[in-house]
Amino acid sequence: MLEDKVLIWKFKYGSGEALCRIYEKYIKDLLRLAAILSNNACDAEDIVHDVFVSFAQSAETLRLSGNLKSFLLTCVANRARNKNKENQRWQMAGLDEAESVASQSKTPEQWIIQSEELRRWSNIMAKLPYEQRETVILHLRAGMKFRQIAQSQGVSVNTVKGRYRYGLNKLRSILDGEVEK
Amino acid sequence: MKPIENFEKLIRDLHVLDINTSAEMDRRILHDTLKVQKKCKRTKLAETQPDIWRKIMKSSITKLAVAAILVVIGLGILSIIDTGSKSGLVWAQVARNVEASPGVIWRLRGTGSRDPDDDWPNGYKITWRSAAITRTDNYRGGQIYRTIYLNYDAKTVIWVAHDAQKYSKEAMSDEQVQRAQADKERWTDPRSLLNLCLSVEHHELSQKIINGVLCEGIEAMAPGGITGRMWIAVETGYPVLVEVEAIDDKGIRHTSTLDQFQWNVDLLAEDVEPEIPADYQSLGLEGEMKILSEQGKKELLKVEEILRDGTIAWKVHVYKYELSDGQTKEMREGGDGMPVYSQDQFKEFKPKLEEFRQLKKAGPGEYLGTSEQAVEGRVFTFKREKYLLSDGTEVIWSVGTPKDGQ
Repeated sequence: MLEDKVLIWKFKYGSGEALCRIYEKYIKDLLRLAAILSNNACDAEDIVHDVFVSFAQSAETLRLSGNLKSFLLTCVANRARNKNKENQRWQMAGLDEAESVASQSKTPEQWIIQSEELRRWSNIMAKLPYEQRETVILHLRAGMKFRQIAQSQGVSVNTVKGRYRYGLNKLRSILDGEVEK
Repeated sequence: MKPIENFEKLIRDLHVLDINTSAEMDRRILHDTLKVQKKCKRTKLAETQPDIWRKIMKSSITKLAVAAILVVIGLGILSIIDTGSKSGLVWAQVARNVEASPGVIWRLRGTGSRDPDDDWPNGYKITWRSAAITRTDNYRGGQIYRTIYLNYDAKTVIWVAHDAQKYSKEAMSDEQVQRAQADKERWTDPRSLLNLCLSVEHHELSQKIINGVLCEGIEAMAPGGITGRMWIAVETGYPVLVEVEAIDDKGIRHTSTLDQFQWNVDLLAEDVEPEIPADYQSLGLEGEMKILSEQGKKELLKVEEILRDGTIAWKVHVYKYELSDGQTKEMREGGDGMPVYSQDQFKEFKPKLEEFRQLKKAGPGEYLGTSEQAVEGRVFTFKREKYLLSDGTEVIWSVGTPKDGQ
């Protein structure tokens, strides 16, 4: 926490070293979250890239009320949500167009080295509605409180709790189903 | 079905969700991020800026007003602003007193909706300021917990976390010094506030005794709903109390109070620089090395060079630093002539570099002999080896060590 305060202070003062350290310190957490939320390595990289670029632009105005990690995770969750909406729009626009966009994107393996297990989990998580997926992951993997998630998603705490409960039950059914197979 | 708690634990503890970035991705993101950071020149040392000034800054009309004041000061015609007063206090003289004071010390307190991690409502800050230095001590519950010291001449910044017994010393670039000075002059200085008060619509307040001193005041209403009150000691002609109030968009009232002024003091850098107790731990050895590097207090131990088809493709100097905590540390730094690669150029070069490294690991290349060369005023003996890459590229690996002190 103290190191983060120093890093933020240095970052606001224009230190590239501090920015690099923040990157090194949190990149894995952010990437993991982005990968699970988007279930797409290219999107995950883009999300994290955009979060860091925006973060770099925010030095003057940045005023953290919580801790740095939560802040960055929330930024990733927000970006991932937008990306998800964007992808939905692409899918609605038509398969040919979407394929053309996909073919222009990078090969995931080129950028992110993720384990097979992570892929498996990302695929399982992708079976949940996006809001439930985000809620479960933010709470269990990013350690965010329901109140924080509600704030980030712009919904009530009860809605978040509901999404969490439904999401977890569905995940449990999926996993139990896998075991039965 | 498993109990839900077990299932939650399963997801929480999933260590299988490991992920790593590739070097390519790190390079791309860091390159773009650092580029953006460099572009954003208006970054500020926020710790030295009370919220109220940030609020003032948000008002574009106020910005214009202050810009106008700065022009007025620059032209040396502040004397035209002279409200006079019943007791004979000449406000233009007050402005001149303030300008002429070599150093000033004051206390700042604030109220309002603040960062919960900040020290509100129990904290205060003591600031020492002269043309060459600014030091701010942050107090909470009467105990000092943070010190920030900027020395514009020495281009150093020292950050001390007393509560954690840690500190950091770093060099400032010229750009950072300019930025810090600009911020100081504009927004964190009672002089600026006085000039602001005098430049906008203001009226005199009735005389008042503050801490046994007869004072006269003015109240200024700046655009954007900001009110400033400044009280001046009739006898000395220096400010003794400054109060600034603003209401934010959410209707929350913010106040800043500057008091306990000591004007006309000589603040020598060596007196004001924070003393760092021996048991405090340095947070940034790199920062200290940067300072030592700029001061030339480092020893060149080795020079490594890669020539690719006769051109320098890689050059590294290995330096030894002796740090203030007694440790010595070696640091690899880009040497003179080290090319700057664009992302695409490096992408092209990287496979060749990797191949060369593998070849070198496998065994020595063709020995080309030794030569002597002066580097940074010292004679180095260079041993050279040649490697041939699969695409025919000729790579010469050269390592230089000091001739006199191997």
